[in-house]
Amino acid sequence: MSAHSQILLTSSEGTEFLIDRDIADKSMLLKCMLEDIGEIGQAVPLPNVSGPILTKVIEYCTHHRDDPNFLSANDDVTADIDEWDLEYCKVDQGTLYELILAANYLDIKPLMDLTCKTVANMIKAKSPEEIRKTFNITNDFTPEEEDQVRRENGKDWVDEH
Amino acid sequence: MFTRRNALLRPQDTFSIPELLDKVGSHLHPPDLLSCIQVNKRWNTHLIPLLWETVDDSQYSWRRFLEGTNKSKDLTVSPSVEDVLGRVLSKNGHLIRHLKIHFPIMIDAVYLSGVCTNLLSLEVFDLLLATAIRTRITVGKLQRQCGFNSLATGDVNSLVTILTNEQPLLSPVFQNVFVAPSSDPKPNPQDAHDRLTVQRFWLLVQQNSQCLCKLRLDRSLNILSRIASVDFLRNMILSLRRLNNFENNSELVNVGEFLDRLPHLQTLVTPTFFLPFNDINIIKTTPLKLRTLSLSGQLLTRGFFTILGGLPGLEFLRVLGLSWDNVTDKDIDTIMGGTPSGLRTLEYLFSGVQYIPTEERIFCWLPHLRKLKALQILAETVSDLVKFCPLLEEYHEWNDGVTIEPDREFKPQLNALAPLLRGCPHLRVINGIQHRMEVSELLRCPWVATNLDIFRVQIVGVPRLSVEQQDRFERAMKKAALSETLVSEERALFRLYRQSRDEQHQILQRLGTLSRLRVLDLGYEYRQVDHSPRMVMFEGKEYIGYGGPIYDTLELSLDAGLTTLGGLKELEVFGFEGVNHCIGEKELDWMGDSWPRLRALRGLQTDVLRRAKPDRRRDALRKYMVSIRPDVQHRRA
Repeated sequence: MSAHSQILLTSSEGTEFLIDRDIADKSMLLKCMLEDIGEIGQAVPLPNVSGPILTKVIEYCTHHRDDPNFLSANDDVTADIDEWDLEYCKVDQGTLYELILAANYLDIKPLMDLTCKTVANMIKAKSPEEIRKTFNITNDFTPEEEDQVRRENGKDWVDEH
Repeated sequence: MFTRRNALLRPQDTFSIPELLDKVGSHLHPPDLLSCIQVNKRWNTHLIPLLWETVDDSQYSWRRFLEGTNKSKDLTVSPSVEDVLGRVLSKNGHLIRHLKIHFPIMIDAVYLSGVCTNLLSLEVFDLLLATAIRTRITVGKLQRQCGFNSLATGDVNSLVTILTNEQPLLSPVFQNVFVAPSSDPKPNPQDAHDRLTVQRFWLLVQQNSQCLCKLRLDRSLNILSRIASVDFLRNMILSLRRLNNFENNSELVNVGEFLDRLPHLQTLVTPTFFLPFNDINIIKTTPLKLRTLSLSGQLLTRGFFTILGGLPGLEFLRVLGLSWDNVTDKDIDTIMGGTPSGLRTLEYLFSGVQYIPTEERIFCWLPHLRKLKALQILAETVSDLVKFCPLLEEYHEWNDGVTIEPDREFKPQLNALAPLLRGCPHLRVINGIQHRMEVSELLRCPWVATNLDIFRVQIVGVPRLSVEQQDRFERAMKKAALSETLVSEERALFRLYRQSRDEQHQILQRLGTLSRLRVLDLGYEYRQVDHSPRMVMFEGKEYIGYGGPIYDTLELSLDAGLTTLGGLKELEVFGFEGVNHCIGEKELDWMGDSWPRLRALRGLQTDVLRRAKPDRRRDALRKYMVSIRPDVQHRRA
C-alpha cells in the first residue's frame, strides 16, 4: 500500500469522493475493510451517508488528520470542546443527528463523542419542559406521574434545574 | 453500534435509538439526568439506570436532604428520611453500581433495601463527620422500634441501654467479631445503633461479594464499633473474588498477610507498615499484578526497591517518604534482578536526610518514568532525571503550586529545574512555582522541551533599573534627544536598559515558541502571611505590610516584548502575581485580543489577606479587564 494512496467513496446519492487513505483510516469501518480486503480499485459504497453529511465527515477527519490523540480526543466527558470542533458542530439539529448516525455507521469514535457531547450541551441546565421544546418531544407523562418520577429519583437530593 | 437506521429520521425520532440516548446521557450529570427522565417515558426508561449508576451522598443536596429530616432539636424526630430512602432504594437500589457513603444512615438504608446487590464499587469515607445526624436518626428509629410516638430524653436513653445490653447480632457470622461492650453502667446511647450499622456494612459487602471490584474501608468503621477478629476481616476481603482496587484506610486489615490470595488486585492503598516490603522473597512468590500502589507511610530504600523488583507491572507508586538505609548498589542490583522498573509515576512527599544518594540510586532504575511529584527536588536529582528518565513528561511540586505561604523549610536551589527544559524532549508539564530560574541560565542553551502545556516557574535575574535609576535614565533620554553629551554613568544606564530589554525580549521569544501552552504562570505569591507582620500606613490607616514584588522579574509590557507571546493561542491561564510587572490597560487590551481562550488571570484578584494594604492600581486594572473580557476570572492558582 502506498502511503499516499487514495480511496474512492460513494455517498447514498451516488456522489463520489476521492480521499487520502489516512483520512479514510480515521473510520474504523473503512480501515478494517481496507485492511481485510485491500484496495479493490473500486468506489466504496456508503448507502447510509448522504453527500452533504459525507462532506462534513471528511472535513472533520481532514482537520484532525495529524492529531496524535485522535482516538482519545473526546474521552474526557468533562473537558471543554475544542474551539474548531465547537464551530464545526454549529449546524442545524437535523444535520447534527445525521452526523451522529454517520459517525456511528463509519465507526469514528471521536466524532461520535463530539456530536453526542454537543447534544448533551443542548440539554444541560434545562428543565424537562425546555428539553421537550428544544427537541420537539411530546410529554406522555401525566402530571402525577411526572411528580412521582421527581420524588423517586432525586427531587430532594439532586439539585433540580 | 446502533441497531436501527432510518435515512428519513426526524430529529425527535433520533432519540428513539436507545444507544444514542445512552451516549448522550453519559455526558450528563445527575441534575441534567433528573430533567431528562421527566421528558417522556422513553427517556425515563433509558436514562434512569444512568442517573442511579453512581450515588455519592456527599454530592449535590444529599447532605441537606439527610440533615433536613429533622430541623427541630426535639428528640421526637420525623422518620421521613428513612422512609423516603427506603422507598426509593427499594425501587432503584438494584441500579446502583458505584456507591460512596459518608453517612451511617446511608449504610442502613442501602442494606435494609435488600436490593443493592449489583455494586461494582463501595467506598466508605469518614462516617464520624455525620455524628449529629446519626444521633437523631438513631433516636427516631428506637422510638419507632419500641412503639412510642413521643419520648422524653430519659426514656430514650433507657431504651438505648436495653438494646445495647442485648447486643443484637444480625447474622451468626458476627459471633465473637466485635470487642465486648463496655461494662459501663451508662453506655453511650449510640453504641447499639453503631454496631448495627457496622454489621449492615459488612453484610452489604457480603451481599455484593460476587461483583465488588473496588472497596474502600475507613477507620471510622472501627471507631463506630471495634472489630476484634482479624479472621473475620480477612475472610470478608478474600470472599471478594473480583476485587481489583482496595483502599484500606481502616488500620483494621493487614493486607500484607494475604496479598498472595488477591491475585486480581491492581490498585492498593494501605499503610506502609502493613506490607512485607522488606522481603523480596515474599513479594516475588505472590502472583500480584499490582499496577497502582499508594502507601501512607515512609519507605526505606530497600523496601522501595523490593516493591519495584517484586512488582514488575507497577506503574504508579506514591509514598509519604523515602529514606536511605545503607543498602548497597550490589544489594539493589540483586533485588532488582538487574532489570529496570516499568514505573511511570512516582510521588513522594519527602526524601530522607541523605536524599542525594537515595535519589541518585532511584532514578537510574526508572527509565520509563513519565511523571514525578515531590516536595523538593535538587539540581542533582534533576540532572539524574535528565540522564536516566528520557521519557519524563511531567514534574509537579507536591503542593501543586499553592504558594501563598512558602514552605520555609523548602529552599529550592536556583535554576534547579532548568536542565529539564534543556534535556527532556517529552516534557509537557513543569509545575514548580516555588522554583526560580535566572534569565541567563534559561538563555544559555536551546530548549528541547517545546511541547509544554504548563509552565509554572518564577523567572528572575532580569536586569531592571531601580526607581532611582529609572529617573536618571529618563533625564538622560531627554538629554540624548537634545543631542547633549552623556556622561559615562548615563551611558552605563543606557547599556543596562538595552541589556534589560534585550534579555526580556529573548526570554519572551523563547516562551512564545511554546505554542501549546495552556498555563503560563510566572508569579509566586510573595506574601509573608505570618511571623511578626510589619505595619504600614496608607491613606491615614494602618495596614499589615505583606511585602512587595520580586524586583528582578519581567516587565511584561508591550515595549518589553509581551507581544512575542502572541502565538500562545491555547493559553487559558496567565499568572504574574509577585512579578515586578508594568502591565497596564494597553497590555490588558492586548491580552484580551491575543489570547482568545484565556479564562483566568492570576495577579489582579481581590486581596483576601487580613488588613492588607489596598492596591488601587491593581483594583483599577481588574475592573478594566472585567469590562473588556468579563469571561476571564481573577483568581489564585
